[in-house]
Amino acid sequence: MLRLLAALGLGFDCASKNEIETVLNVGVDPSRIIYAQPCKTKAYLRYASNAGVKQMTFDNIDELYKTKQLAPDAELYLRILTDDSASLCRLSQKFGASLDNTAELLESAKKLGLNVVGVAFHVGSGASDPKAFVKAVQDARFVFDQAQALGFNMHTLDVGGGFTGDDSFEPMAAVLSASLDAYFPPNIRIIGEPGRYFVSTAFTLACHVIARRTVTDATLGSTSYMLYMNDGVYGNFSSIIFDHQNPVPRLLKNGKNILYDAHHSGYFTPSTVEYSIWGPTCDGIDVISSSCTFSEVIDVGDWLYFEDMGAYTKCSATRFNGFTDKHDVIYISSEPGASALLGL
Amino acid sequence: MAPSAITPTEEYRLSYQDLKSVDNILGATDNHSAGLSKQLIGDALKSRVEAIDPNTCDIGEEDAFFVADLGEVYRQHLRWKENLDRVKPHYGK
Repeated sequence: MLRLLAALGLGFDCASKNEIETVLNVGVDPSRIIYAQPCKTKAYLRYASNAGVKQMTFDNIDELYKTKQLAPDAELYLRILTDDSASLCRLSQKFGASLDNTAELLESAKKLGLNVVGVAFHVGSGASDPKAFVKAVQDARFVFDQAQALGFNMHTLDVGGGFTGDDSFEPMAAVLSASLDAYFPPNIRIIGEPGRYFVSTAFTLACHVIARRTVTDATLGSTSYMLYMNDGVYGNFSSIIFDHQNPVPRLLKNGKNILYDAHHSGYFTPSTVEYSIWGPTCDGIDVISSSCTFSEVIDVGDWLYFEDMGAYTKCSATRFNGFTDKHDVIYISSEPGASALLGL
Repeated sequence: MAPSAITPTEEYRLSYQDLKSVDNILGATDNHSAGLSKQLIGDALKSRVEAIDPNTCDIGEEDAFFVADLGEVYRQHLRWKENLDRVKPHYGK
């Protein structure tokens, strides 16, 4: 996956030593990496500096002192606050300098002899309101002007992430493009940090039904089932907790029958048998679906699958209760262009 | 390309036109790719799960697994180039 992204000419936004190392090992030049974490671990910062990664973000004075000490020739981006109230994962409560502080931070950077080259913002992961980008671009212009007045050679704007891969991308892109053209001349380089946009829809997860509990309701005379799978919210369904997702269960294998793409999902109402779906750990929070229905009677040994499982799944999985966080990925390519780039 | 403190621009050597022309040569079309994607994902899922017998398999063989379509990433890249070409993507998690 990273090899393909590198071959397509993308840059990389890294948050830690391990991410930087992984990207460098794919053969990416350090000039294509931005260490976009405004509150860095000292040892990681030292590693990044030694590896030749120069682009990095900051949003507070202590980070400037740290940078002066460990990476004095860094190309710095001042990360500013944005209104992220319409995003799935809000980030501005954690990172970003408010516009009241930017002047002071830029003056401190000047005094320390550090090189500020740009402004960065992040409207929050899974953004849904294009207006958030407009306001952020306007604010970034304000800070660009502040920095230029202090004599910094400002050449890059980092518009962060928040891009979803669904139908909202085109309108979002149109609004962002128009704002950029209105506030930043063509000689200013613009970079972004898309993540889920590229991978979310590319991954399908298959899970095995390891146990089943039959629940009979004597009053209603109905039978429903609790299914226990070998993956849950402490594993690849961590997106339910960390990314507010609702993965949709679909039936892959029922007895000897393969039913991939043959049926409606477990949330299609005319189906008849009711299920709840659980992960393998002993924690009651480990639930994938509290109620869904299928026409089939699903049993131990059957398989379910879930589409759009590429974002905040595998990377935030844990080994709680001793279950594995190392799951195989089978790569295929439905595009000759992608295969050609990878020499497949 | 050697790292440089001065030039801020990376190499993005594949333009939208480059990629589209490659696709035309290779005969890829949007509808064809979407159908092919489903077929390839289905085939990969099928061959893996049919090879597993929970009554006899080793520990870990029946673990959950992913199928990832690199073609989908490629299509998303083209879509980015088409709609947001001014912004150079830096992939992040």
